[in-house]
Amino acid sequence: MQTHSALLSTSQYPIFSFGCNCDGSNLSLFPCNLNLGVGRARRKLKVCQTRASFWESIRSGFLKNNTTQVIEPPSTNQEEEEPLPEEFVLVEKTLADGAIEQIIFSSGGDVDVYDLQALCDKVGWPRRPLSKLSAALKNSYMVATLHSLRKSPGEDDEYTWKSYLTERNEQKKLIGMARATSDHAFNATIWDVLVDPSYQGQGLGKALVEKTIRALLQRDIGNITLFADSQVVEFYRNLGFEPDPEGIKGMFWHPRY
Amino acid sequence: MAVAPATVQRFADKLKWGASRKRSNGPIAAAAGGARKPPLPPIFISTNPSHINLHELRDLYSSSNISCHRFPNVDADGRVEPVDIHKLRIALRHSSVVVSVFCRPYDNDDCTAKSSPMMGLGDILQRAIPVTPSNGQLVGFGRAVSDQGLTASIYDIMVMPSLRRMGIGRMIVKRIVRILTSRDIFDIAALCAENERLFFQACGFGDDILGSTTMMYTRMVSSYPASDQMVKCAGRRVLLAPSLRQPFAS
Repeated sequence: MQTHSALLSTSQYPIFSFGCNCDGSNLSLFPCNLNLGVGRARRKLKVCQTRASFWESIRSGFLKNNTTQVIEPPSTNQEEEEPLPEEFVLVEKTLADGAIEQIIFSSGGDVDVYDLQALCDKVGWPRRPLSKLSAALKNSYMVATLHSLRKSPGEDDEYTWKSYLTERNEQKKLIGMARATSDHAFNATIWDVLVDPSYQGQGLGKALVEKTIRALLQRDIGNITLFADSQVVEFYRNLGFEPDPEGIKGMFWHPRY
Repeated sequence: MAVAPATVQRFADKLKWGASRKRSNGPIAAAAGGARKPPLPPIFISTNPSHINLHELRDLYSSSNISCHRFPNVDADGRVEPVDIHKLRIALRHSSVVVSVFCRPYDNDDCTAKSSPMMGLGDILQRAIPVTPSNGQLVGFGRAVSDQGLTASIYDIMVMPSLRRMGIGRMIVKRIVRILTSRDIFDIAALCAENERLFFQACGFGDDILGSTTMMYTRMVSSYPASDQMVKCAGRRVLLAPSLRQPFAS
């Protein structure tokens, strides 16, 4: 079904994209992760994929206006203020049944808001409107995510046609996120740091926050702030944060009715 | 008639309470002992970032002794280092709300110089022309950074020292808040030092209802940094970045 609609003209793309549930980017012949409204909060950056596959090169040849899957070297433009997106495997382990689980860190900001909301439910956060979530993700300076990629055993040759068309035995799950807003010059605030409860305690949250701090400092953004709940103050203290330094406090607007 | 005097009394109490509430509303009047605020000169409030001249803005930062760094380098006179104009331009470009207040130059000078009792026709005509960003001087500024969805942070609220305690700062904050709430953003934070706390309290800010703690990254270099460590200067603090994590060698 998906391959049929994929062969239609470009004007059909919105319908096609909305219909498919693209949790893995390799499910279809044509990329469905174009700039949508609510479905995927895709940032306007060109994602720098670290792995090129045979089918992706054919795919990029097919499409004329392809701005998402192009593999290109990182920009060396000095005016580039956005952090360069990167993606790498943070942890890899072999499970009991022979499957391999990789935890992939990505700062490209490719987050499905539905996945994010499910993760927020898991950690017990109150629900927020999806449109606001996706707008917030799109306009954040940096969104760092952790995905768990579970490869079933026996999955080796990714270049066979058969394995490409059928659903690959891969499960990609969002397990952590941290985002930061900034004015790109002086100040930044880290919001929404969360890790799936079943993956907590492994240093994943620490990796997320450290990476965010490093990306911010690389751009000379020196005022990094966050507002921590009482139970995580110690966690951030160990990461180098100080509560109320020199008497600086955050105040919040209280609506007066 | 027992009722009438009681209602009159209650009404009178309300009047008094209303008047005293206005008097004691905010630290400005309280500090002046209930004295009336000086009259506000005609001002123009703009939310258009293109009205701002960056050099004027930098001068305003300097005269208000505000640096964009939270822990700035302070020289012997207590003046902070001037703001880097290129970074300021970038910061303005990425601030969701930018509010600037303009005032006619002589209105500002009047506070410092003696105004002449005899006003010539030229002066009267000049006062009749409304103040605009092009003929006015930048006297107040404020900006907010937001993710246009959930949260916002207010930074760098400042008013020229000669025009303080007139309610301009509060006007700036109220305008920023109004713009943000019209965009459906209600989670508005403002980082403030001890001496700014009262001001923000008067603008309707308070401690976080969820009881969160404000934390800032202050990890510094304790000794000579190792070759692979990244060190960045932020004002007078030299921050040490977390070390690079090596990707898992598969």
